[in-house]
Amino acid sequence: MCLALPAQIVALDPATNMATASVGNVKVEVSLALVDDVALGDYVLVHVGYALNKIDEDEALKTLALFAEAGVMNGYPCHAPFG
Amino acid sequence: MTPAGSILIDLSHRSGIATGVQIASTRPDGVAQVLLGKTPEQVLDTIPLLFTLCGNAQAYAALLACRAALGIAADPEFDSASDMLVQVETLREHAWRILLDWPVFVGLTPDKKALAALLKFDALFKRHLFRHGEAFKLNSRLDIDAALAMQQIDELEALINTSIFNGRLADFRQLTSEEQLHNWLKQNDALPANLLNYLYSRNWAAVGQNDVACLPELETDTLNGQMQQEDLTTFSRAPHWQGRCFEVTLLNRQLSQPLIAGLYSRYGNGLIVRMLGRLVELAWIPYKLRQLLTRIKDKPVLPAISAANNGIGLAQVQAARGLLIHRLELRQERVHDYRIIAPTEWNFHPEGVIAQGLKQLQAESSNDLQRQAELLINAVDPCVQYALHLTDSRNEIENHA
Repeated sequence: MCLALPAQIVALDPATNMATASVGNVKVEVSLALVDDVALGDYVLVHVGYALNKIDEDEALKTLALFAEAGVMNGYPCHAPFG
Repeated sequence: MTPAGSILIDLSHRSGIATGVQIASTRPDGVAQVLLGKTPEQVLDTIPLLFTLCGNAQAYAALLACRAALGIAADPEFDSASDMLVQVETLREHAWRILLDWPVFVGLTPDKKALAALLKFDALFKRHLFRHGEAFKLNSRLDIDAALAMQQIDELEALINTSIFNGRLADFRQLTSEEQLHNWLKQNDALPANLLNYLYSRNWAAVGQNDVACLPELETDTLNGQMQQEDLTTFSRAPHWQGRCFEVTLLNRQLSQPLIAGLYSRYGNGLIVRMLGRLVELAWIPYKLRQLLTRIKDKPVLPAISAANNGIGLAQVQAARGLLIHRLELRQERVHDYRIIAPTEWNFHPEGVIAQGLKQLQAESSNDLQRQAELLINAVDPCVQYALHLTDSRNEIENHA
């Protein structure tokens, strides 16, 4: 199942339209080709190397808390305040 | 690797001839557990947070299952509008494969701009079909602006016509035989034509052909009856029907199309049939959207299936990648058990259609084997990342000697 894991943008490279995003403590390289106006600190949903869309921080933290509850984040410590 | 997990595929071979396949998964399977103890309303608030690519299909399946468990009658108009959103999502997922993945197989540049434009349609359709753009809730209400919805369908069709069919969508829809397909391929350089020509030129049309059949349509009561006999955790991880593995992909929906039926009789469930099935389904979605929009006022046939049984609700929805099943059990109006069986569980079952298809591969070199395997996996389309690892068993024997 395609889980909607929110990732926070921690570095941007405008020259290549790429970014580094953080899911828990895991860093992934993502393309920003499919989404507009992404800034440092934004949360995006990531799928196979692409940021799909931005989501607001409240929704991102709520989602991360749900995944923590489901045990999905086991081994992927996350800084989000899990309810 | 991210917490979303991935599918690990080990393909053993001897100089390009497949000798064995092992499929394992690191996908988390306890996600539905967060729904336990929740009310149906809370379930429907939670599901959209959990799923991304197939979010509409997941949310619609959850809504149907909740309605069934609560004994709420079906609403044909509402269901047609919901089906429209699933269709828009299916088009987007197919376009992703065609615009971003297919070019890479033939050395072309992916068209990210067109896909970025397609991603915006989901929110527009929700806004033109549902009050406050909010679908898939028990209290969601239709608020249809038919003129704007029709305009969106026209724009969607124009976009795929330009970006995928090079302006020849109408011609493509008329194709009913392989001979006509060959003529269509000769006459244009549309992106999909490049991939299809490549498959024909390499004589790879039947690659991956195997005997795993498409799952027949199942009555919801019958499916629920079997699931009640099963250990549901085991069934959710490795589903089967009457002890056999089945395929649940877009091919199940496209075998009735004359072009696909004709190709299937020649190439079975080989690569060309799968690739064309995706293209045919995508080509007809705008037409289907118009039909659904027009029929909303005519009490249409239900597009999805759900059934109730003593607080148990089961729903089957055709998602982009195939059949999606949600089953929940309510006790005292809260979720006592919730199961989600995604198409990837059927299709990437250790003995399923991908495993059997990979076992049939006989390439001329390990490079060709790798390419064939990647094409086949892409055609069946897992909903998570995968890692394909090839091992030449001859080298391994030599290494261990």
